[in-house]
Amino acid sequence: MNQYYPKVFLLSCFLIFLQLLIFDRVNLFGFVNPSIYIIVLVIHRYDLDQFNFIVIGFLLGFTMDLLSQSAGSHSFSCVTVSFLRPLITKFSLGPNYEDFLTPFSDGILISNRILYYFIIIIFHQIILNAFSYFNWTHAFVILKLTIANSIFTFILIVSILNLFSTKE
Amino acid sequence: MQWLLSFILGYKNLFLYLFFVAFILSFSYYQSEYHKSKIFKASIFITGKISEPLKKLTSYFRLKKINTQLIEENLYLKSLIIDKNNNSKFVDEIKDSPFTLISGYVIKNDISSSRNIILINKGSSDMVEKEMGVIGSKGIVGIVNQTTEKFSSVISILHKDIKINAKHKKSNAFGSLFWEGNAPDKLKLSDISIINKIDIGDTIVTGGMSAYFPEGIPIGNIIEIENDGKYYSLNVKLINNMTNVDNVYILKNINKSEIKSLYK
Repeated sequence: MNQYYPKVFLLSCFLIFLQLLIFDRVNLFGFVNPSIYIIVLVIHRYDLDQFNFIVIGFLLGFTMDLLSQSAGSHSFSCVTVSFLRPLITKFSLGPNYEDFLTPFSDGILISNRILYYFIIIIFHQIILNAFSYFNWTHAFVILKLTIANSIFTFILIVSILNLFSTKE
Repeated sequence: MQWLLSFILGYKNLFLYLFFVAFILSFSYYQSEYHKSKIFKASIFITGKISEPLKKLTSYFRLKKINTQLIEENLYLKSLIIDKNNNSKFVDEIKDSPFTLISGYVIKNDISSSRNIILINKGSSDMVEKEMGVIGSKGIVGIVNQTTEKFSSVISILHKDIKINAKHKKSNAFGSLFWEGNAPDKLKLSDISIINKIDIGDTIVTGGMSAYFPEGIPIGNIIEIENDGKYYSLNVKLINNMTNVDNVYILKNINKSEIKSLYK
């Protein structure tokens, strides 16, 4: 357990580094940029205190905001996702969600795991874009960015997690 | 106390989340002008919704005082009508005036900070727009800063960042009127050249050099005169009591866009 949080810290730094240097500059079709740094929020263990998890979510988003000169959109989306994650887990992993420690635990159906990834990603993207635009007259742009970024982020995150995941 | 502590600990995650959300909103407020304006608009809307019923309730208990004010205002208006009838030139001037009035009332008034904001119950649906002048029954009140559909925020003349063009009524000498942030009934008029004859008790009125206020709206009387050898610095006591402003009139200048286009 004592080793876990330093690992989260190192992983967060590495992912923020990758995000800023590579994934924020992808601009696929001129507007699509995946947010891979939310892997930290996706793979965080389920059995740990949620209080610490919200703090991690905030620090992750706030660092992104400071380094990308955005006005709080990353912080708001990360904090909200980390606050809502128990509900997302309960909804997507089914009634036995308390038996699992991580999203890679044995017994999680592939469909449930995919649903879990997708809900976290789409929640994060919709809050991120809505906060950036902060105006419902841009609802169409927010929706377009959310859908496109979510799909691209989903493909990337699933690929990365499948490459590096280790079974319990 | 024990109960409060256990309540906070029971909902610690929710409180932490709300704390972070408040922090992020204040961060965006200072980080981005766009978010600042949007958050400010939302705060006007929320404060307006809360303050309006409260104000309605308290204003009921002040009806007697308001009646007296209205009688005074009626007297003043009647005297203007008499003047108009006696002086046809004045009637022409009124007809030519580019200003129209929208009436409203104050639902929240601050005088405690150095940058005071007033909320009024008229918004964009009542044709109120940014940068319109606001006057009370006895003098100027401020300038509209932001509007939502039903409410507007007004930068009070008791705001350190606002400067208003004003003049000495007798000599027509112009200067800048501003608030130093001290007493809510004292303003300072600077940049009036010492070649003009100024006395204590003289009236200061709006200068009419801006698109916000027409010329000649009373502001206050001179209570103290200082001079540095070139310019006067006059302490002005406001005629309008800013601590109990209730009914206000928003001035719509139909020529404002034309005037502004000349500055571009």
